[in-house]
Amino acid sequence: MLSLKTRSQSGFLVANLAIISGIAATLFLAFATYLWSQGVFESEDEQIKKLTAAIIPDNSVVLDRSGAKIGEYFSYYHVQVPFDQIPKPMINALLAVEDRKFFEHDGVNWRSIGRAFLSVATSGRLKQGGSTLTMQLVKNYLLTREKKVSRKLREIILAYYAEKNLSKERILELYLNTMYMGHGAYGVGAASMVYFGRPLSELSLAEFALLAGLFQAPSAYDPHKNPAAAIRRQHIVLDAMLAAQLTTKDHIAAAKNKPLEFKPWIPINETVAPFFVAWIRGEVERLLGEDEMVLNDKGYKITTTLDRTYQEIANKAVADNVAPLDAIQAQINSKKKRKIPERIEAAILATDPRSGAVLAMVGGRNFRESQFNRTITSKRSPGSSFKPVLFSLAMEKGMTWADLVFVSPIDVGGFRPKNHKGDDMTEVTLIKALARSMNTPVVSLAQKLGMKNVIDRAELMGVKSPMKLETGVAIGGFSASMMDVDAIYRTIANDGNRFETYAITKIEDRAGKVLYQFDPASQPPIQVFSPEIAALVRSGLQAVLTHGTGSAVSYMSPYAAGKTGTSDDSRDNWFAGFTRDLVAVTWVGGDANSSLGDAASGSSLALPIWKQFLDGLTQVGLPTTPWATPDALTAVTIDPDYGSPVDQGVSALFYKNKVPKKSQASDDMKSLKQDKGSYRELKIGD
Amino acid sequence: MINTWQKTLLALTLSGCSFIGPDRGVDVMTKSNTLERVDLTPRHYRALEHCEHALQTVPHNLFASVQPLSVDQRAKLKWPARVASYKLKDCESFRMRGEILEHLEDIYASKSQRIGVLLPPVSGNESAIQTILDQMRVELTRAGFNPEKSMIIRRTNKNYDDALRASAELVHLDRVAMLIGGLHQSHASAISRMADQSQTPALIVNSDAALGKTAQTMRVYPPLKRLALRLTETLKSQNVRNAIVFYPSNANLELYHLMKAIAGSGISYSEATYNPENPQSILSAVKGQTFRLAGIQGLPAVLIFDNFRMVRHIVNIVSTSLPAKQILFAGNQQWRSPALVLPRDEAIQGALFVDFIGSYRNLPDTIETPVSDNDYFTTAQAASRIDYQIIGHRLGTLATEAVRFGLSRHEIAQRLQSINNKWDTYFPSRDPAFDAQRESSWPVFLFKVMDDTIKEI
Repeated sequence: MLSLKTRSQSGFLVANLAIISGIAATLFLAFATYLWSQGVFESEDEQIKKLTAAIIPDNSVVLDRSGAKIGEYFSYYHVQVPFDQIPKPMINALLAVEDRKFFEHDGVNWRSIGRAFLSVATSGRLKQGGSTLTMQLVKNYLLTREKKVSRKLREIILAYYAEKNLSKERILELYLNTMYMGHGAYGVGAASMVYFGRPLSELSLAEFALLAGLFQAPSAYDPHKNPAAAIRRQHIVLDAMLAAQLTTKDHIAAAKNKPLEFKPWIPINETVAPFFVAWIRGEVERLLGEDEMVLNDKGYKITTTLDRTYQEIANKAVADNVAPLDAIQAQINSKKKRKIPERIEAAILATDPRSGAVLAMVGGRNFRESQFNRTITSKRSPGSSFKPVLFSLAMEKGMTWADLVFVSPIDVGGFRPKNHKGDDMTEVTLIKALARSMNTPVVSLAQKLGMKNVIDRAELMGVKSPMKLETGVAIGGFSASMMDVDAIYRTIANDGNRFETYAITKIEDRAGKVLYQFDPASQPPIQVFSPEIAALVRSGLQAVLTHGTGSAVSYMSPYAAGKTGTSDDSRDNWFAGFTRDLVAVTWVGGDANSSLGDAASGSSLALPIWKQFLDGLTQVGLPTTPWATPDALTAVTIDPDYGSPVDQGVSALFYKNKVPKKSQASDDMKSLKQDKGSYRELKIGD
Repeated sequence: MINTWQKTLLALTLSGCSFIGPDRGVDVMTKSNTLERVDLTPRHYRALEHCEHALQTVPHNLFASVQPLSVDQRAKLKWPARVASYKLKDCESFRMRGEILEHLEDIYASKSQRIGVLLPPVSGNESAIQTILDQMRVELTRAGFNPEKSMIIRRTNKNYDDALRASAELVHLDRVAMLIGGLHQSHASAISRMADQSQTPALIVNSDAALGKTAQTMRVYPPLKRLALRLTETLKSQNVRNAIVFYPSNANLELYHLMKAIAGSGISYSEATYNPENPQSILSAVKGQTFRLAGIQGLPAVLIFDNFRMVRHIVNIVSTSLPAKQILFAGNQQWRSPALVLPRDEAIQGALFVDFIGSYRNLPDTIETPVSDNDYFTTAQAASRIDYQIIGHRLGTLATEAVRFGLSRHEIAQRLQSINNKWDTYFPSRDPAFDAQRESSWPVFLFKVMDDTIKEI
């Protein structure tokens, strides 16, 4: 019986074992089936390929003409830092707090995994990750963020294979450049900029430790929002480094005591040349035919013509001159029933007349508050800044600056151009009409020259905005962009030759392949008029500075020339000027086209900005070389009112065969004007 | 020299008595201051009747002419007081009549070569008056007179009574042979009255003031009326049927003649005035007429009676408003300047204007005239000066021509009415110096704008 019992017990045991084994096998199969159904055993090859072939996302960057970054396009903010450029303390800090055995394991730290499963067993939930950096990377790159056992198992498997296919350094490089670190920043390079406003290479141990602490919970340890928590986390990291003997006690102490300065992150896109960078995106898309999302994160290197120094001076010129704009707005709003609801804006556009390159662009007072680029998108009345177009035509038709014109109040089909107060019913030379920005003689002149000819000339000089065949166009009565106005002055500044505006010289992909390249030297300019005509017009525009509405910068007249422009009711206030090497256009106005009142004008609002800009540029080396006079021309000082050669007057250029002479006609006009009556009216008798 | 009959008749007229009876006899003053009844011969009677008729047709009154003088001044004359006494007491007092006749001889039959001038400079025209006076001195000197002695200049304000008194002083105290003056209406009226009363010839320097009732007063002034007539005749000859006249709101009396001439020419016209100091006023005036101009069939004229500067502006406004409309612009001597044609304006080509001065090279040699390449232009300063110099020249030469022979006032008046211009080549030769309306003859020129200059046509 005993043996039988023993045998039967033995059989029972076997039977039980069989049953248990069967059950276990069934459970294992069921679990395996479950894991299979969850994709745990899916082929890892395809996924691992994603990792091995991973290209660390990088912003497409916009470079200025010296190669310095001025902007970047991205969906998520990255600043790629190659492994060999990642500071060692950064790596140490990371490893100390996240994966001290990183260089020892093969992708999985089983002890940590065990702790994780224990956590599941005791609590039923996966509280602790137990993940290595490799597992985090795999999770981040290849898996979802759900907390499931199956996902964890898959993470383990993929981590293992990742370690088989990638070097430890590459894994670290991927990790440090791709992990989210809060505030839209991915990777330590981006985080460095976001939290400290400096590149990673410039940070200290204390700052590396703070960044290393962010990987665990970027939001919880956000230094901007929760600096105390961030510091506590930093101390944990530092302590971990000490525990791992990755640095010395003294360094840790110093790092803990070092006060950290967290700078609010202002993306470079919003600081250096925000309007320009935003415009360049569209230009790239235009040139390459790619849409915005493709450009983002693609790591393109876009080299532009922008001069960062010029841009910074332009930024400051606008920023320093906003107070008068606000004062005018406040003054008008305090007195009149009519209010100016919108903020008075200001903009600068600067280009190189010898190539058409955009050197600086300020599209408004504050990019954050208004991204509307007034240098490109805004279409406003150029006012008198358009007049050089007409005068270039007049010079070409044989007129001279000494020609007398009559400033009469005129009405052309109901259109009544206005002059400045006191200018009506006078006679002036062409040069004074230009310098004082008189409208009626220009309209009369336009009628004589033919509006069709004027418009054709404007288009040749680069005005791309449509112009109607109307007399008002002669005095800027149409909508033009700052680019249009800039092109007009570029043509004059460059001896009558106009280059098309451009801002991008090269676009390369991240591999260095040139996708687009522009060589201005290979582009022949459009010759609009001769160098002599250009010099004649330029001399008239110099007179604007010496004797006209630009007199606030009269000291620049040896090397600069320009013109004010003020549209009806001072809605638009311009100054467009140039030197041999630069054209700059400034504009002030309201986006809703409000009148800025009688006190506003191109002289009072736009010129001060232009002045500060040019002064700043000359201080940093913008040449102030006077222009050479073409052989066929000569300078003559004339009476600005009547054109006779005089000792003290306004200097202008003339063809040598058209040098003004003393004229009895002008003497008579002068005499009569002084007499304020007729000298042949019989003034005797009642 | 008046004869005995005239003396007698004057005396009687002065006294208000008439002794010409139905018997055709007359009391004649003898050398012994006695009246003698004389039967008139038919010849004497006709002469006397003619003289009496002539005297009765004008309200002359020598006695009245001394009334503006002060008591002291009249006392120096003696005779007016006696005339008054005579009138009151006994019109048949031979002694009194004798005294009157002595004074009449002294005053009316004076053979003085002095010229009384009443051309006081007043605000705004001092320079013009001084220019006239200076040129008169030049002409007197040229004629052999000493201007310092020959020109007796009295100064007064624009008040009529003061001008009348000054005129009386010139006539009775200074014993001038003729009067020159009358720039202002009040002066012209005072001088004319004095000329009539004292039978003193007078040259009135005024374009519009009414001349005196007697033949003693004559006008010496640029021929504004004839200029206007010449202009309107020319417009009519160019088939102008409609015109618009622009002139400043402060236009002087020159305009009066123009408007009168146009009104009489049959040309339909409208007027537009403007404030020359207000550009918008000018624009409004012109724009107010452009619709009318646009609607006119044929060639309309735009007459601008203002200076060339305003002309250029108005032409500018008109041509800008109506660039395709053919318009004949026209005006007067105020247009004359190189600045009218330079710089060139197509709109003003063919424009016409009248002037009382032709080529500056043909002016009297006593007038210094800077002339450039173009004979029709001179400097602005000279142009203004010459206008008054030519007036001074005309006054000076007429006056010297009148008094050079030492004639009595009566004879001077007669001479002025009969002489012609042969002695002054600038003015229309062989024409009488004065026409039947006692207006001084004066040349009239018509100019046309063409080829960036003006040409006399």
